[in-house]
Amino acid sequence: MDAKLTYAAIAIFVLVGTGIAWLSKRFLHEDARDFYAASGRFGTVLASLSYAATTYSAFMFIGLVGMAYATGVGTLGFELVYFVGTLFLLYYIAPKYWSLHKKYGYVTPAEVLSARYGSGGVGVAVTLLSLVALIPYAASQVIGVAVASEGASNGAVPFMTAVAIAMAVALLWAAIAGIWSVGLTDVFQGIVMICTGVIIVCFVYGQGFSQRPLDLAALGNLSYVPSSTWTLANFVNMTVPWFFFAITNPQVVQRLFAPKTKEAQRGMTIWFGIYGLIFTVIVTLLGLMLRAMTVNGAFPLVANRDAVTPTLLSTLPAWLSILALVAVIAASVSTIDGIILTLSSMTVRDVLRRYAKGVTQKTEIAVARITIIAMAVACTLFALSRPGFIVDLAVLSSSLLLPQVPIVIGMFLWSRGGKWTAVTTIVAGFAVALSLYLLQASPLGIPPNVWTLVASTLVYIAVAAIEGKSDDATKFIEA
Amino acid sequence: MNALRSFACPYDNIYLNTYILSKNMRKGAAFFAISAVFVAVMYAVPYGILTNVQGWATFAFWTAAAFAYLIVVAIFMRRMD
Repeated sequence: MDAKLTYAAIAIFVLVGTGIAWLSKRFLHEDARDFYAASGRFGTVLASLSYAATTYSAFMFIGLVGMAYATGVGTLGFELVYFVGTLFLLYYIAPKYWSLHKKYGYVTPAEVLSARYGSGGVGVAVTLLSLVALIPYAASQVIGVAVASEGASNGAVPFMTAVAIAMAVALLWAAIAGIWSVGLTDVFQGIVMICTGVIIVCFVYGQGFSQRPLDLAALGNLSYVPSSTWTLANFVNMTVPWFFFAITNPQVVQRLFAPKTKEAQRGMTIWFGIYGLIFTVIVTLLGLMLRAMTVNGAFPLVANRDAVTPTLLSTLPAWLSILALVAVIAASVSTIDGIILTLSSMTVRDVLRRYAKGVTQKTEIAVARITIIAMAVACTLFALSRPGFIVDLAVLSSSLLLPQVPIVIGMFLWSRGGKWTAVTTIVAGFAVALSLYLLQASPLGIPPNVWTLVASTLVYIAVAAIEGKSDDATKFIEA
Repeated sequence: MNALRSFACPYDNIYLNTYILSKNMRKGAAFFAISAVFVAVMYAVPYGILTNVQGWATFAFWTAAAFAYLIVVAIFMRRMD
């Protein structure tokens, strides 16, 4: 596929998405609660597809396909442990966040934690943690678009141009009508993602396995665990932060405020589950099928696992390559715009309002825009350095966010603990996560993410026991 | 009679609330127990029983376990008060 065709495909996608984002303005009420959380007015379909598209990103189309290709079936287990963990947590936590939003009007996840732990300082700590931790994740989305564009156009669309397009589109769609434009474009993008995934899997199966059926046994030790990559220790290390993704990543937590009724919120969980299971299985299957085709000599051997999907795009017919590229862009943009929107809302409401009393609405909007642009620049710079594999960047983000687990779960279960409990838990957990990551250490052979979770939980329990009961705890426990 | 009813209603509501709370707590505990089994099995079976078993076994097991868990979640969600 040449550069003109690639640019034309991207232009059509951007025009359709921008049209949807523009139309979504009719639903927007001009206030912050509606801009960031839809004032709890999303129906089941909008809430489900928005949650799914925000969750499933370039990580799936580029990272997971490549990981399945390179490391085998353990990839499926890794992603399905995330899936089970998310459904488990949503069952307990989603109704509580929804109820708190309805009763008290919270707009950001950090606001909820500030209220429970009795200090705006907790919101500041959570916001700073999220700003730092989500840069690798957002950057991995941008890298996904860039490598897919390079692959689809056989290098005619440069990395930098693709990065600039992805960031510009995400910024535009987040700015037009906030959660409404993000949510409605998510529906469009979510449908594109799953339909394209199914079409590609069927096409590749038809191409590679029409003569003989797909037999995973041909992959040898890639068809079972443990393997050289998926040792039990590494499997545990990778899945621990992933299991808790639904409560540590603010962009998905904020989506829990959006459903309009309890029924819509329950429907969101179930439909997200159906979408997620289908998407996970087809994406992993695609990676394993490509590996089996490599064994049969029908697909080139790809050494860099993030280059597997781009290599596939360069071999597909033009129409399907275009569709696949659009799906990768959709997966990336639907996640980046959600992250940008959430982080800008947290910066304004949890940081600016704490330190600058009586700021005008105009100043708040200006700060929100500055945050959005600063995040975009930081992600772009991070992406341009091509720091590592997409899956590893995504897991790094969730590892750094892991110290929030005890303060979120403790908020709904235990009446003890206040601001010092929350802040020391975040600081200690972040220090452990970062130190072990930089040192690449696994003390006593225990995976680093387990250390982070255990250390932050112990700090939480110890400080909460000293700090005593909180007056505000009851409304969160009974939410 | 009315006086008796006005006395009885708050009591009934408290009884009802306590009943719903304990019912929800029982459901929550049951869901937690089932989930813990699913999570344990998702780690233990592929890394135990299915070790070195080539082919579709591990893939099929994880897919089936995740699908079964989705059904469990849907059932519990529908019965939620």
